[in-house]
Amino acid sequence: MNLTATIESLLFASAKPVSLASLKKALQVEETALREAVEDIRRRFNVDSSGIHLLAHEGQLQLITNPLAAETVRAFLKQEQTAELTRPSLETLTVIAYRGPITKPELEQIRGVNCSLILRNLAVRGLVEERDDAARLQTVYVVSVEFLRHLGLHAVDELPRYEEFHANEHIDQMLKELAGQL
Amino acid sequence: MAFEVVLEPFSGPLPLLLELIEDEKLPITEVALAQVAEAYLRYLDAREVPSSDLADFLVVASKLLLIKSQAILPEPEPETEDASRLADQLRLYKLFADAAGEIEARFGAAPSFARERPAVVRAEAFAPPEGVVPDDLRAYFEQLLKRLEPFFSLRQQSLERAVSVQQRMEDIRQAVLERSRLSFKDVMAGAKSKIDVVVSFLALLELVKQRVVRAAQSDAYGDIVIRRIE
Repeated sequence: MNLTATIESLLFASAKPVSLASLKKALQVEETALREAVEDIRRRFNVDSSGIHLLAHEGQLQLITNPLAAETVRAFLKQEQTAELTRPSLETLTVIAYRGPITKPELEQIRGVNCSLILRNLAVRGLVEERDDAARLQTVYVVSVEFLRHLGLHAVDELPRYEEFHANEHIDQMLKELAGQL
Repeated sequence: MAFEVVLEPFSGPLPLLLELIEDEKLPITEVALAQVAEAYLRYLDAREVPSSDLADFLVVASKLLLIKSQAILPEPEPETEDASRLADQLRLYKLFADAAGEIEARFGAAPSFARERPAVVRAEAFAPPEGVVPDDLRAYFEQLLKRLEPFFSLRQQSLERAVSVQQRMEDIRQAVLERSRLSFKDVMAGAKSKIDVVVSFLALLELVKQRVVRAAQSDAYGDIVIRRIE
């Protein structure tokens, strides 16, 4: 069986998102071969005519239903509508989605308020994940795979105006200046 | 300028500032910030800002005051960048606040589903380890009591002291009622230990606090005269 087919099987069998690192270890393959295989799956699956799509976020992969089938699947699974988000949670998620991985001070710079409590709540709801950034020696925050599923996205860069917000010199500059003020 | 502040809770100083400026239909500039400074302060006055966020609101308030004072003072101030920084920060915030609107519209509208299911919650039941006999439970309980011992002995001591302070207060109160004037030496006369003196002194302080007696001391280490408050 070829690599792409094996990866598809592993993803299908896993209930949780699967990390690229664990695939690499399980399949004993080179990083580039793995990435090519994943890209191949993504290209073949993420089309309207496929019922199963591939979500990729922060080195995590998961097979998901086609967002176009949302209504039917939701009714079939008898799933409740997603609970609404408060304005502050929504803003926090937005900043993390566009600027993640982001540190708490950077986030607080943008929102102008202490965000500890809200980050904890979002983590409890499974919408945000925290991890240690070895390079920056700080905890950084990213939105979760679950958050992307709520939005029916395959990757975070499908957010509207993602490039403009994520790697924006103007925003970077502003954040740097604001940080200098602390 | 009659300015009506809409009294609804704001999630932070920046949303408040943004709304104040947008209500005035102003662009986000230092001039606009100076104009809404007062409305911002009025909001802080009128609303109970949660103490957890108060510091953040006050930081912005102080920046606004600085900006306003710079706008009012005619002489050129040494260049401070605080003003433009607050405007920058607000513009940056607005960018994301607007983007949040789009996320809100999409959130849960057409979600994807995965095979993830919530972890199965096991029914809670009494499941003792194998081979447990009633005697083991007794032994565990005895161990538990033993661990609690320091706690109980600690409590007993502090209770005893509390009782004796209470008792000593009553003694002093009685004595003062009878004689209307008493010296701390009299009170100490029957003291059996240092603790006893300390307890007497605590009792005296408590009575002073309760305004039952008045205590006066003419000089350091001198005797304390205790009088009844009529």
